[in-house]
Amino acid sequence: MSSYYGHNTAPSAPPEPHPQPASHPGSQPGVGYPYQQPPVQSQQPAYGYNNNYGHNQNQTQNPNSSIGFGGGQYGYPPAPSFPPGTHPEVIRSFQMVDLDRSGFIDAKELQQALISAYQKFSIRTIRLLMFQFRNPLDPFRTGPKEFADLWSCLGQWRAIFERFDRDRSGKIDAAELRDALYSLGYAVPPSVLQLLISKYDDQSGRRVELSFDSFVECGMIVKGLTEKFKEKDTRYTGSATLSYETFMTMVIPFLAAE
Amino acid sequence: MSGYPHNPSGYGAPAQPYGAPQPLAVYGAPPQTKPQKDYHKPSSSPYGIPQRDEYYGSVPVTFPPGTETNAMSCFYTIDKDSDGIIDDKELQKALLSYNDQSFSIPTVRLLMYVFTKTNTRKIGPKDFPQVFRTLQSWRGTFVKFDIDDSRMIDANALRDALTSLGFVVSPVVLDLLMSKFDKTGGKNKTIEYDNFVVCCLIVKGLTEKFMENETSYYGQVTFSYEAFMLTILPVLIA
Repeated sequence: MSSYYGHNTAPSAPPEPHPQPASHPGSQPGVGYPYQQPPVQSQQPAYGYNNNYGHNQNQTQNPNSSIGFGGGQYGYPPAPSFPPGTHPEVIRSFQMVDLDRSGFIDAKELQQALISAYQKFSIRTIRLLMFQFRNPLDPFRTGPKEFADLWSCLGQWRAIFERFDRDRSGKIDAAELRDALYSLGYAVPPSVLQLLISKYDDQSGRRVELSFDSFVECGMIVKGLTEKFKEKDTRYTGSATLSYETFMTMVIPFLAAE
Repeated sequence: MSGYPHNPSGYGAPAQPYGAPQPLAVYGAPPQTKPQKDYHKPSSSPYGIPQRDEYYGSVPVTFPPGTETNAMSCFYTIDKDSDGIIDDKELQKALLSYNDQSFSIPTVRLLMYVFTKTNTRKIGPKDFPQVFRTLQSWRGTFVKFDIDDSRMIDANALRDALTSLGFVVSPVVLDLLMSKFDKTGGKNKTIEYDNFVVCCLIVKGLTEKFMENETSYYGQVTFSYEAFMLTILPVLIA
């Protein structure tokens, strides 16, 4: 494959929403997921809000799949569903913040939803995550499928971050950032890496280090821009010809809003 | 230099020759500019007008020819530690106190990047006058298009405002900008003054970067991956 962007084909689609067994060809070796395999579901594939609430008498109630709502219909129109096999913790985290049961959550709610399993990310990072995993129906809000994909991606990235944070300080330095991005499939040129690092430099004279939040922010920008660029580099030459319009359209979504 | 009527070790506000320092802009009122007629005249003048090539502290401060006195006195006032250079924190404070605009440090740094084309996070007398003039111009433009004085403008006004500043954006780009800078998340499709300034900064920064690279007549640029990333990233992570 081309060496311009990465050493392997980084998937342009988000990773699958449920953990892969180690032998799966698409998985990265040694990447752990922060949770176990979800319990096997023997019922119908749809795993939406209305599932397991007694409206289908043929279902056997699986206590491990409880979403924690005590049963009964809500009288809401069927909300978009979580993909089959989504871990209950993911569903629970989503539903805890989707108070109006609309099936969509905004930036603040997403920030909240990720706290228990991950951390409180900055709103800037949250918006980048939402953009990367955006819902085509509503770019300002995240639906269940997008949430599941995003969660899975964060799990993968956290495993990589932890792998490179060898001294367990909760931060990685420039060389570790380079290696971490590389293991995610992005071969970042040294000049670009230098520029990225300088942005996180507090100019105190200390070595520049990135927290996990900054790593996700920085990584999402690299991932997003690289994928957009590759879309335009249709002949895979490492170069793309862009009009002013295209250029602006590609870049503006990555800007930090005040 | 001798003859300079103020304390050479500091340039505190009370010593301003024109009384209150001229703010970066007064909402609605254009600044008065008094270009220096003979800027080779040595130091002192009866009014203590800050000259080019003046020393304050022990640092020579050289403004470009024709710099208006408002810009100069503004510079001196903002440069609280009188080291001849304005850093991001000083500029942030100045924008807040003069214009009642709170800009985040990343935005201030972006401003410095766009106007100095460097990552040093500082502005000196060489680049400051342009910042001064441009911010005033943007302010004036916003006021002009804020017809109902609501301190907000809609998409059409934004488009016209950007055009009047020399930036022609397509409907797609306009929509993206509006969504990004509308504080209601794109619902109201309005932009407030502070985000208008950031929006202009972004458009100016990106457009100039694109133009720097433009080699063909067709308005297209061929970027290598590396060049693309190096062009974009400074604007995204200020």
